[in-house]
Amino acid sequence: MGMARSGAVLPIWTTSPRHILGLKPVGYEVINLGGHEVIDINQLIGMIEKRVENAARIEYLPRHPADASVNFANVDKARRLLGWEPRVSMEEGVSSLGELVPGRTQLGQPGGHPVSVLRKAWQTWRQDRLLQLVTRNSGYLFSSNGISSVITAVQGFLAALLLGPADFAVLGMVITYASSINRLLSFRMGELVIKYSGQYLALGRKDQAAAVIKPPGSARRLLLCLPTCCWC
Amino acid sequence: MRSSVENPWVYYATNVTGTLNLLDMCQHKGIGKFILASSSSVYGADPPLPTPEDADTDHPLQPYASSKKAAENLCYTYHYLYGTDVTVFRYFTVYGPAGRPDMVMFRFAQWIAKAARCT
Repeated sequence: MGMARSGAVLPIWTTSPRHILGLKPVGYEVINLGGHEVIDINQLIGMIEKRVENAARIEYLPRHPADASVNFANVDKARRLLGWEPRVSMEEGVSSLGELVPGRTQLGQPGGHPVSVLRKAWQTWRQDRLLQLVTRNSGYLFSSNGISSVITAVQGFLAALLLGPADFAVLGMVITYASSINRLLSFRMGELVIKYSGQYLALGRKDQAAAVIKPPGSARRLLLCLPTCCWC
Repeated sequence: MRSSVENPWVYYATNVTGTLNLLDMCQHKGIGKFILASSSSVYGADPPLPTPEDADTDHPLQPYASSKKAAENLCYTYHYLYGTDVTVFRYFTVYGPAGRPDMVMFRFAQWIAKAARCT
């Protein structure tokens, strides 16, 4: 913002108007909306200084060529066509700046304390529904995986205890054999089942869903049994 | 406004193509009323004060202002072709509830509150 336009220049400021007036049918009309007060930039800074109870540090720079210098609306047309009237004074507008955007602009508060940063992060998390869903679903996923790995560990421990070292080794060989055959012959049929049987279940066609589940199941059993029989 | 000098394309995509999309949708869906939020920046460098609506708008100073003028023109074209009822508001330095934090009022307020330099 070029503050070189201080003193001699007269910007005018507006509060957002009520758009309902704009709904009136007019054909095609261009209408100015602006405030009724003309103040210069130094007066404005003075008002904000008073509002936030802090002194401004001003640096004067040459005006940027793309900065408009003067801003003052003739709002006769808005009055005539829509009955619009600027109602909020500059003083009122500035004094309500802090309250208008809670959370976005906290005036007069030096932020950055670690506790307040943490609290802010917590509040952001609480307000973000998507983030909460992601957290919850990852929670489900991790807890089910955790439970299954604990059960597997207990199962292995019990099997070792009951079978003794020699038989446990045989069991280990069987499991290794089954899992390598499974890896070799697995054609990701689970995904097929999930995709199509879910579709039929949603339609209430249990027979069709079962028909989707049976062939891959039998195929798998067959593929596991065949080599086992040959081996035996 | 100054950032539109550095990146005019994003302002044209939003203000011109965006307005065109909305006008076209209104026409297809039979929505009869269109309000365009334009800007006092279309009045350029030396407008008469206080500025009336019929002041010169053919000499915009930034891509932002020229994109707003283009959007106004599109509104007129759609009004002429399809009878869409259009009100173009030219806002003069808006601030207020739900204002963007990068607008001048908030920036000044934050700079002063945090004792940063106003440049």
